[in-house]
Amino acid sequence: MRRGGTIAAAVILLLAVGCEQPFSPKRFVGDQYALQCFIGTQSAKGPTSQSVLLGRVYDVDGLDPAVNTEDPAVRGAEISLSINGTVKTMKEATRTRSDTSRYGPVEHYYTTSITSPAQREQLSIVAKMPDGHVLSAQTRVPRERSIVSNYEFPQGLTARITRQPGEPDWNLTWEDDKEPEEGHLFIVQLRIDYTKQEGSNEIPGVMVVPVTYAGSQPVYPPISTRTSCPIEFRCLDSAMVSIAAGDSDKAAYSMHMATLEILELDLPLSKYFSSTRGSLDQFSIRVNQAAYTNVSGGVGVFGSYFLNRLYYPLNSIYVKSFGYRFR
Amino acid sequence: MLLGAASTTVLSQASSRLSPGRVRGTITDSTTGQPLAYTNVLLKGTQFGGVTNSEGFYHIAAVPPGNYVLVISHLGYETRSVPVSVWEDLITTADVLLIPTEIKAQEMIVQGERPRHLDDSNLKMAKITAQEVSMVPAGAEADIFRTLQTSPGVGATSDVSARYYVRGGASDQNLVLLNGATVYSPFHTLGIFSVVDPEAVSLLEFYKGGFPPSYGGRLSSILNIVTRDGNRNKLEGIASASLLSGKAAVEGPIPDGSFLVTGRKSWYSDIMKKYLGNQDAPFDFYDLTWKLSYAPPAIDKNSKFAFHGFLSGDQVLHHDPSQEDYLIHNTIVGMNWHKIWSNPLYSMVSVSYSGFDAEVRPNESAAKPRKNRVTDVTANWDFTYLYDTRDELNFGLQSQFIGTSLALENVYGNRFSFDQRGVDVSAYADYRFYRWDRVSLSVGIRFKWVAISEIRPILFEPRFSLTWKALPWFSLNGAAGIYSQEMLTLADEGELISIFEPWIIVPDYLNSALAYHLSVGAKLDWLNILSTEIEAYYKPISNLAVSNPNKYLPTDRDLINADGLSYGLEVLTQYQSVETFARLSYALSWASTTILGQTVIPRYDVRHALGILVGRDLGGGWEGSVSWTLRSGMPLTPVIGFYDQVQFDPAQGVYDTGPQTPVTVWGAHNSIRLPLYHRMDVSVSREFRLAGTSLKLGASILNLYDQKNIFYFDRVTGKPVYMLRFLPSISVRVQL
Repeated sequence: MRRGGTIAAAVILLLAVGCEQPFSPKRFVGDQYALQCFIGTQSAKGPTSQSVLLGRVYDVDGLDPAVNTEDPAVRGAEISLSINGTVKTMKEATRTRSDTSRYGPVEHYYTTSITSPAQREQLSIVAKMPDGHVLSAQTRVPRERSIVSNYEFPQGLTARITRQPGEPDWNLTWEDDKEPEEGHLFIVQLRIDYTKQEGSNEIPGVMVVPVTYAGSQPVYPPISTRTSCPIEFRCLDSAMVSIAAGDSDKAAYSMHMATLEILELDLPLSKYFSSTRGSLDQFSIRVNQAAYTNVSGGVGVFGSYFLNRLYYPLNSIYVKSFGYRFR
Repeated sequence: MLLGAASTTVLSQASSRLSPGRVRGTITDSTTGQPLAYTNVLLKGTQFGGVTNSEGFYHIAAVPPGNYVLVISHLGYETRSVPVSVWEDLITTADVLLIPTEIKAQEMIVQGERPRHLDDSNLKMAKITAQEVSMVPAGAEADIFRTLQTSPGVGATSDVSARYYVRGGASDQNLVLLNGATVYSPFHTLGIFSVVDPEAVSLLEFYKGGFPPSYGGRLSSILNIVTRDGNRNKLEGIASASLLSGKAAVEGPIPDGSFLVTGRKSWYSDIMKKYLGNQDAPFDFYDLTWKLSYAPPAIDKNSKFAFHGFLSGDQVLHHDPSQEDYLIHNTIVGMNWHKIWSNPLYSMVSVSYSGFDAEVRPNESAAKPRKNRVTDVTANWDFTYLYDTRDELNFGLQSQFIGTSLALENVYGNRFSFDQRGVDVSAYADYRFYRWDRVSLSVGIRFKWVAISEIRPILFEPRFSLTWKALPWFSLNGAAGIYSQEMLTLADEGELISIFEPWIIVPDYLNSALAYHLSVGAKLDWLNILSTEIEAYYKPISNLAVSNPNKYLPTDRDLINADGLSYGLEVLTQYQSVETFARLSYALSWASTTILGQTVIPRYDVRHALGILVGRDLGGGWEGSVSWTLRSGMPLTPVIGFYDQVQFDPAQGVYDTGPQTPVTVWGAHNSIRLPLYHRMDVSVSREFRLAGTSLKLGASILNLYDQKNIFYFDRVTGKPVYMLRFLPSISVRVQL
C-alpha cells in the first residue's frame, strides 16, 4: 500500500511538473465599429457644429490597448443625422489632435453644421461603413428647464441679504412636474467670471462656487438626478474671497456676473456617463463592466444634452465690499 | 361480539407479555470526558442498536426484556462490551467510557463507523472528522473550509479564498452554525482562512443539499460546527504556532462540568503576501472561542448546560491615509440546554446572539465610512421523540429576530442607508421511519409562520429522504425538498477578492429565493474500510437576488430577481483503516443563472473536478499526507477588442468628442474558461513525547511542483496573475 501510494504520487508529480498552458483571454472579433456622438444644444439657439467619431474596434498584442499606434478612425463612411425627420449628411473632416502620443497629429472625424435642435426633438443617426456594416442609434433632446429660485436678487446676486427664517441657503429648483423624465443626470455649476489686470493685459479667470463646506473642504454640486441644488450663502462669500486670496492688489480684479449652468443629459448619455465613471451603483463595485451603448450594430453612444445657462448680475456693492472693481 | 372481546383480551395479554424496555446512556472519552458523537452501540447478537448524537447520547428502543451485552465501538477507541439487563417497561441506563487506542486518537474526535441501524436517511450529511481537517495539507494553518473543498460538489474560485460554493450555489447560500448560532462572516482576511479554529471543534456536520427540516434559511448547504466541551478530568493546555498565527487552548474540569478556551492571533503577514501575489498585506486577525459545560446532578442529572461564546476580528490597516481600512467583527454568545426526559424524549433549547459588524474607513477621502451591522437573536426549541418502533420524531420551534443596517456612500457622494428588521418564526416536524430493516424514510415539513422579508417566501417547505438497503453492501437513496432564503450578501460575483460583503434582508421589492433540491444516489460498501458513493442532483432556484446588470442610474434597482439552475453528478470513494485514509472524488457539474432572459454561467461553475487525498500514519510518530486537485478552469469573460472611448466629462467642461481613452470591449459574460487548474500539496509531521508533553512538528508545501494556475489577468499589463505558487511552511504544537 505504502509503495503503491508513493508510486502513484510520483507519477502524478511527473505528469504535472512543468505544465504551463499558453492562454490568452482574448477572442478578438473583427469588423466591429464604435460610433460616438454627443449632440449639444442650449438655451441660446443658432447654428452649431456637431461631430461624430467613427472608429474600428482593434486588437493589440497583449491586453494593454494603450500600445495601439494604428489610428482606428474609419474613413469613407456615409453618416446621416436626422433631426425631427430632417436629414443632414455628415462630411469627413480633419482636425489637429491634441494628444499625439499614440496617433499622428491629424484626427479624422465627421461633422455637420445644424441649427441647434430644440428641446424634445427626436434625433437619429445612421452610419454605413465602407464594408456595408450599418450602425444606428436614436435619442431625444432633453427639455429646456425653467429655474425657480427661492431668493430673488433685484439688485444683483449677493450673500448679504435678509434671509428667510429656516432657509439659510439659496435653493435652485428646475423640476418640471408636468412630465418628469426619470434617469436624466444634471451637472450643476455656479461660477464667477472675473478678469485680472496685469499691466495692459486683462487675464480672464473663473471661480467655481461650492455648495457647502465639509470642514474646510469645499463641496461642489454632485452629479445626480436631483432636480434642485441648494447653495449656502457663505459659499458665495468664500468664493469671492478666494478669487484674490493672497493678493493684496484686490483692485486689479473686476467682475460683474455669475453664471449658473445646468447641464441635463438625455437617458443614453446619462447611462453612458455613469458607466464610464464607475457607475452610480449604491453599493457594489463591478468588474468587467462594459460601457453602456445604445448603438445598434456596434458600440459607443449617441446622446444629447441640453445646457441651461443663466446669468446673474452681481450686486455692485457686494463686489466692492471685497475690494474688487465692479464692471 | 364475544369473539371480538376474546380477541382483544388475547392481544392485550400478548402485548403485555412482550412489553419492551429501553437502553440509553452517554458515551464519553475516558481521558477527557468529551461526549463521543456518532458512536455505534449494539446489543450483541441482535439487530437492536443505535448511534450517539452530537452530545454522545444514544437510545435503543423496543428491546425485549432480557440480559444482553452492549457493544460500543468508535474508531480510535478500544471497543467495549458491557453487560446490560433490560426490564419490561423500564429504561436501563448504561453510560460508558471509551479508552483511546492511543493518545493521538483524541484528535479523531467524531469519526463514526457506518451505523449498524439504518439511519442512512442522513446520507445527505457528511461528517467531517478532525482527522480529515488535519490531513488536508495546510499552508501555514489547518482549515475547516479547505477540508470541505475536498468534498465533491464543493468548490472554490481561487487558492486565496476558503470561501466555498456548493453545487452551483453562491457562497452566501451556505449557512455556518457554531453551537447553533449563525456565523455571518466565517472568514478571516479576504476569506483566506475560516474563523473557527479546528482546535476547538468537536463535531462538523455538513449537508450539501437535501438537509432536514430542522435547518432553514439557506438555499445550498449547512455546516454545523459544535465546539468541544473541554477536558473533564484534568487541566490541559495546548500551544501551537505556524507562520501565520499563534494559538493557545486551555481546558479543564470545573465542578460538575468543564471549560475550554481557545484563541488565535495572527502575527506574521509575510505569509499572507504569498497568498496575495506578494502584494502588501496589512492584515491582522484574532479569534477566541470559549465553552463552559455544566451538568449539575444535584439539579437535574439528565440535563446539561453549555454556555458558549465566540469573538473574531479582522483588520486591514494600511497606515496610508490614501487607502481604505477595513474592520470586521463577529460576536456570538449563547446557551444550550440539553435534556433527556424520562419518556423517550430528548430536547435541546438554545438561545444565542450573533452580531456582525463591518466597516470600511475611507480615511483621507471625503467619503463617509461604509458600515454594515447584523443583529441576530435566535431561540430554538428542538425535540427528538423516540418510538418503540425505532421511529423518530424530530420537531421544534425556531425563531430568529434579525436586524440589518447598511450605510454607504457612492462614488458621487450620495449617502445611502438601508435599515431592516425582521422576525422569522418557523416550526418543523420530521418523522423518520426506522422501523424497517432495509428502508429508512424521512418525511418532514418546515412551516414558516412569520417571515423576515416583506414578500414572504413559500409557507410550507416539505422535505423527504429515502434510503433502501437493497443488499448488505449496496443501498440506494434519494432526497427532495424546498428551501428558502431571505438574507443575502451584496457581493458582486465578478469581484475576484472582496472584503466588505454586507448582509441585508431581501429588499421589499424582491421575492425571496427558493431552491428545489432533488438528488438520487447509491452507496456501495466494498469492504468495511472501502466505500463508494454516487449521487446525482438537480437544483433549480427561483428569485435569486442578483446585481442589476442594467443599473446605470441611481433610480435603477440595485438588485433584480433571477433564476438559477445547477445539476451534476458526484462520485466519492473512500478507504479508511486505522493507518490510512484515502479519498478519490470526482464531480461533474453545471451551473447557470438566467438574468433578464439571458443565461450566463457564474464564476464558480466548475465542469469537472477531481480530487485525491491520501493520509497515512507512517509509524514512529510520523504522519504524512498528499492531496492533488485537478479541475476545469474558471469561467472568464473574454476580451473581444478595444476602442477609443471619448471621455465625455461636462463637469470638466468637456462636452464634445474630445480626449479619448482606450477601453476594452467585452464578449459574452463568462463565455470562455481559464486553462485547467491543478495543484499538489504535501505535508508531514512528527510527534514527540517528552515527560508528559506532546510536541508535534509539522511541515507542508503547497503547490509542490509550482504550477502556474492563472488567477486573473492584469488589465493594464496583460500579464497573468497566478494563484498560490510554491509555498513551504512549518508549524509546531505543544500539548501539556
